[in-house]
Amino acid sequence: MTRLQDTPAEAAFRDRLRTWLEANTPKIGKHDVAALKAWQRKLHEAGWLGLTWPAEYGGQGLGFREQAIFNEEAARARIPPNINNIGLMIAGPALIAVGSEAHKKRYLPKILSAEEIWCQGFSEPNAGSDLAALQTRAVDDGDDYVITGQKIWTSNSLIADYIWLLVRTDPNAPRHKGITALVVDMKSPGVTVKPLRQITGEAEFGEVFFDEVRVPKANRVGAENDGWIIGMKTFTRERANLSVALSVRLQQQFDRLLDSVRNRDVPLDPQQAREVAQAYVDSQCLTLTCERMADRLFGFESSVVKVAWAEMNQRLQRIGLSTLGPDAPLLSAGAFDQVGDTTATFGTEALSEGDESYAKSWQFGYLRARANSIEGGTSEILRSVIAERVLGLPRK
Amino acid sequence: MDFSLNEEQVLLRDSAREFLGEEWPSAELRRMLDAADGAAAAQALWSKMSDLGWPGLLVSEDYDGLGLGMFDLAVLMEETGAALIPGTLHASGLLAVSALEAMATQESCQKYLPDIAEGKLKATVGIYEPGSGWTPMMLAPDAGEVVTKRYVPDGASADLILFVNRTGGNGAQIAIAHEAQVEDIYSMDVTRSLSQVTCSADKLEVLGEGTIADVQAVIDRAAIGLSAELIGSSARVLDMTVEYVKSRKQFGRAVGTFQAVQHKAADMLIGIEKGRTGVYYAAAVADERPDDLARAASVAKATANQTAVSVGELGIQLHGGLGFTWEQDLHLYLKRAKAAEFTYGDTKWHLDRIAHGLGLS
Ligand SMILES: Cc1cc2nc3c(=O)[nH]c(=O)nc-3n(C[C@H](O)[C@H](O)[C@H](O)COP(=O)(O)OP(=O)(O)OC[C@H]3O[C@@H](n4cnc5c(N)ncnc54)[C@H](O)[C@@H]3O)c2cc1C
Repeated sequence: MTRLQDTPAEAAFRDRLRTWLEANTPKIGKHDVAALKAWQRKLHEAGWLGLTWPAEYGGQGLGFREQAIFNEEAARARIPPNINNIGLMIAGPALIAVGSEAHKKRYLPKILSAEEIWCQGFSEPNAGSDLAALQTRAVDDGDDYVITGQKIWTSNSLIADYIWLLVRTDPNAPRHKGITALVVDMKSPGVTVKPLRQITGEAEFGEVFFDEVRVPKANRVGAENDGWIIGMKTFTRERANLSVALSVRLQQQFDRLLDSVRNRDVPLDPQQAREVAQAYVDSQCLTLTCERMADRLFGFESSVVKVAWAEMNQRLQRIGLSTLGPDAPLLSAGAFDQVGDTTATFGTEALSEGDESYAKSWQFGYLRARANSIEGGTSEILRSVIAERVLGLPRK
Repeated sequence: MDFSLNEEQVLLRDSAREFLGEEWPSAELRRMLDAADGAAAAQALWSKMSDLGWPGLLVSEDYDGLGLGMFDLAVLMEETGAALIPGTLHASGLLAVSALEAMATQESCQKYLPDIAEGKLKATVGIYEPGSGWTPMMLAPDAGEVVTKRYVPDGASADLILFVNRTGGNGAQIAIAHEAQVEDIYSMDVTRSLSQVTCSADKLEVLGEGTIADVQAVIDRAAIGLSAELIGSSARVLDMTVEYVKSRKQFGRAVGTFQAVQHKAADMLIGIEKGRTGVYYAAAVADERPDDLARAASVAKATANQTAVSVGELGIQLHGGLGFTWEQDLHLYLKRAKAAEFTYGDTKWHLDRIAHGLGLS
């Protein structure tokens, strides 16, 4: 039995993938939506997306091993991010788990091909960590629900075609019992989206307003008032997929850090070198932990890797920025919303130290990483999940 | 990567846990530490472990061992670490076996390994010298008339004491230290005996030659085993802590309902999961890709050091005053962790080695 080596079939898969990525990985600006969509479609058409999704919905029907190989190779090639990441990591897996046959056939293929971009409407102004407090109302009206309310922090809402939405269908039931999951077309009359500018200057997320929006009942996922359980299943999948995808980015970031410190004229001081070595140890252990725990990640244990990843990435970005010395905070005016600002992070070409966008990319990374311990469940909430759901500590 | 345990490994783990639960409960450990016949308790455990074949787990079948690998040993050592067994298995079954197989002639292996595998011969190895730190290149190249080895594990009860010496340049040798003087050096980790051993140069019987790189590889294997023990003992501390905070009530509720307590427990688990990954990875590298051993061993040891010490400290904290008592076993775990942190390279030493390997220094 070998533990480290690919099986012959895995090695062949890796070879094919590596060759393909070397030939096809583009250099794309992270705000170039059209190019990012085209890239995702290309990945999909070549058979590299939805590796673990069932084949009848456009997936590849492969196992976690292939997904792990994909992640390693993707990191190595520094591929651009998936524009439809919410569809791929959250809505798609949730539909596979709880959607009807009709939903799966209708939505999954176009999530993969990036023809339809998805967003996730869970959080509201008064329902963040305490999601069960959500108030967006869905009123039963014949064949439709009529929806009124507001979602917030909705990533990709400005470019999304569909929103994976939790609404309140029974305001009189106990909080967890009156929630329903819906798929809503963002072009429906009465839907308005407003961008929210983030600390990076970009507007990845926005507010989504619903003003008497009619949604056919056929768009309901699962039974009426079953939305809480579905939401929880969405979360465990989100955290699992996030952890796996994030470990890729961690690897990319670490490699970037190494490139940059190796190219410095001045060697790192011993303390800095040790910090980088510590980052190597932790990112290695974390990435491999995702593989080791693969079969448990769809449960609450995904929180273990999510919390560890958030802290790791935050530390890595801090170290990366610190290696720039006195120039670390210069050249950006604190905003990174121009096309090209962090462009060259993707594609095989590495940035070099003299490069203006090089310093900016570490500043951007440092600021963006602040969200890691908030998005997808705050680290405080997830530590409680670990304590109560994994370790079995009492809640009251 | 495949980190799943196969059927035999699951069996090894489960049977070891059951065996140690019966044969080495806290009361037995305490008897070893406190009673006049303490050494007898350790010897009784050793005989029973020998019946199970553990001392020969790593010894190749050519020399009548089980011929298993570091991954198997890591699985076992998580359990022996959880039970805080004394150091004989580590010293004889891992350190001495690795040193002999790496450096001794076939003839010498034939002479000693079968008895070591059977548990009849308890062996140990002295490597470090006063002033060598954790770096074998710092060993004295010329032995002089008397050779002194420090931090020799389980030297007091060993039947066979081996010395690994530097012979100048990158050369090294392994030798039996005959008529050695064994002096106890009391370690903070009272569950393990450590000795300083001196031997006059003309009483060294050379069993084979090797290089400093071989010496480092032996140490790295021992470091991986020690890391496995640390992760096992950390997992046990977490189990004890979870049980305690579930039942201890203050303010009319279990203290485990308080978030400050819960979040510390969550951090303990996160450290253990990461540490276990580091150990399994390094053990697999030792078995399958020995060229990468140095860096992988450093990953495992650095992580295990950090996890074990922090879990040990948090375990005491979450037990309150009770955690600070001699009666509770928690301090034994913390002391094990603290002593192990400074064995085969502390965290800084391992990070520096990784940094060097990555071309950062
Ligand atoms: C970049 C980004 C993208 C996002 N994308 C989406 C998206 O696409 N869709 C979506 O639905 N949501 C999204 N979110 C929202 C995210 O899920 C919420 O921000 C998060 O759940 C926290 O909710 P909140 O912002 O209301 O903070 P609050 O819940 O108000 O928390 C404030 C602070 O109090 C702490 N706190 C709250 N409750 C507890 C408790 N019980 N115990 C201990 N501490 C507690 C929190 O940890 C935090 O530190 C995104 C957020 C970010 C930052």
